Amino acid sequence: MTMTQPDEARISPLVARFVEVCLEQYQILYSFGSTSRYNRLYKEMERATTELQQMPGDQRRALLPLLSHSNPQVRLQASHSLLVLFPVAARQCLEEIRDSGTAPVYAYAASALRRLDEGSYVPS
Amino acid sequence: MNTRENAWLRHQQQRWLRPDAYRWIRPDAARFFKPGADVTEAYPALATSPNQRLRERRIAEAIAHDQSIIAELRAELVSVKAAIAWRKAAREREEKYSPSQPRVPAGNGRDSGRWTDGSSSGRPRVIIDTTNLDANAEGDGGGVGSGISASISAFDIGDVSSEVGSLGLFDIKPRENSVQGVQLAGDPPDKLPPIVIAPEQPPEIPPPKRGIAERSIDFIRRAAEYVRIVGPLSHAAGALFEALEQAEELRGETAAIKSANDPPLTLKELQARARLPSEPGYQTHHIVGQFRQNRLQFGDGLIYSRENEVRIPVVKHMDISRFYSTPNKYYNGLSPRDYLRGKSWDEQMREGLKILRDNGVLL
Repeated sequence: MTMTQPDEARISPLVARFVEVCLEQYQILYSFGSTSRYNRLYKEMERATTELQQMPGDQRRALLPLLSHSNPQVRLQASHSLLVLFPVAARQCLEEIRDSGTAPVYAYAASALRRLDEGSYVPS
Repeated sequence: MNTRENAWLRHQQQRWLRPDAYRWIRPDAARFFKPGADVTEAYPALATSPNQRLRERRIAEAIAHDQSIIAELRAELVSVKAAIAWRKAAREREEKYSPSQPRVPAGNGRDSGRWTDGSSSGRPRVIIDTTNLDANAEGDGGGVGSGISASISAFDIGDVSSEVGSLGLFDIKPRENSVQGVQLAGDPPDKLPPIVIAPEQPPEIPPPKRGIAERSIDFIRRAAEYVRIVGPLSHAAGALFEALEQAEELRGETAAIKSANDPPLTLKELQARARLPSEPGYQTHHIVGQFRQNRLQFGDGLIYSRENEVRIPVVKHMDISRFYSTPNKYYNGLSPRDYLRGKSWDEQMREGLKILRDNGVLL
């Protein structure tokens, strides 16, 4: 018989890993590091987000505190994941990142907002 | 003095004094007043309002803050310069000097003190290995007497040590290196010496010059952020650029920092700039990507056309290139490059312009 870990105990490590991945992504973008490493981190981040989403009650909401994280990449990726659950807060966070002008993430926020406004991307 | 008299006096003062009379008031004017008198009452122009004082204090604080940042940057610059100097010295030590290498001992005439390999035997051999000369000779008509090039692989000048004496010259073995691709001019001798093929060690390939991506991009980012905050035309930014220009090795970085905060331009301006000779701190960007599939799909003529080429700041260009190559949730989880692959010219152009706008390059 397989023991299923209670969701509460699984959420915190996933959120912690999400933050770690975003911080490493930021370092790569900032210092023009390895693209392949960034791509692997992106997949890992997507896996963590999907796992949170599939938990009862869509546990992506556990990422909400990250909207006030000190690192802009963490805020950016958390906003992407929270657009469905907290559209106003997530959008506001994206706008703040875009308006801050902090390179290189502000351009990612600007492009996300544009794609949202155009309807090219519908959050799910 | 009542209010009316006071007003009358002010009127007379304004009537007979030039508007900038306060410039002639000596700074120690208070010395000539009764003790306890307020100078600003006599000369209202000297009075500063609370708002003005607050403003001045804020400006002073901002200047102090700027100066502290400049001091930090200067300190960092000093450490960078020291690191560069250290590396340069280390390289020179490695390449040019080895204290353990033996020298020709004193008392050997002009050769005393020169570097030697320490061996006492061996004859000098001058080796000219010109592998390509055979081909050249054939191309020119070939063989001996063709006039220009001939196949000379090596020649041996023989043992001349007895003629020169024991000067220690032949303690030095010449390097057995040969040079590829040397073309000799002039007629070759009638009879060629025997061919000697010397084993050779391929020359060490010098390390390629490092690109801007591999250099201190962190420093460029931080300095560009600083310039963005203080304003590209501020004194603080000017002082920073002056300090950077003093460091010869940071010339490329300085250009990149300067251009990083360029204001957005119109498409026509960016396209026109791409037609000019190359400028430090800028790179040419192709709005519709110049990757293989696009070149096959649209042809080089269109990809490298005036319409498709824009010149943008180097840091922005690197950021945009990275943006194109990394996966993005807003492009169905693909990288924008993969997302646009196979799409029409117009669609790629439209998205390319939008990405330029997102990055603050295009108005």
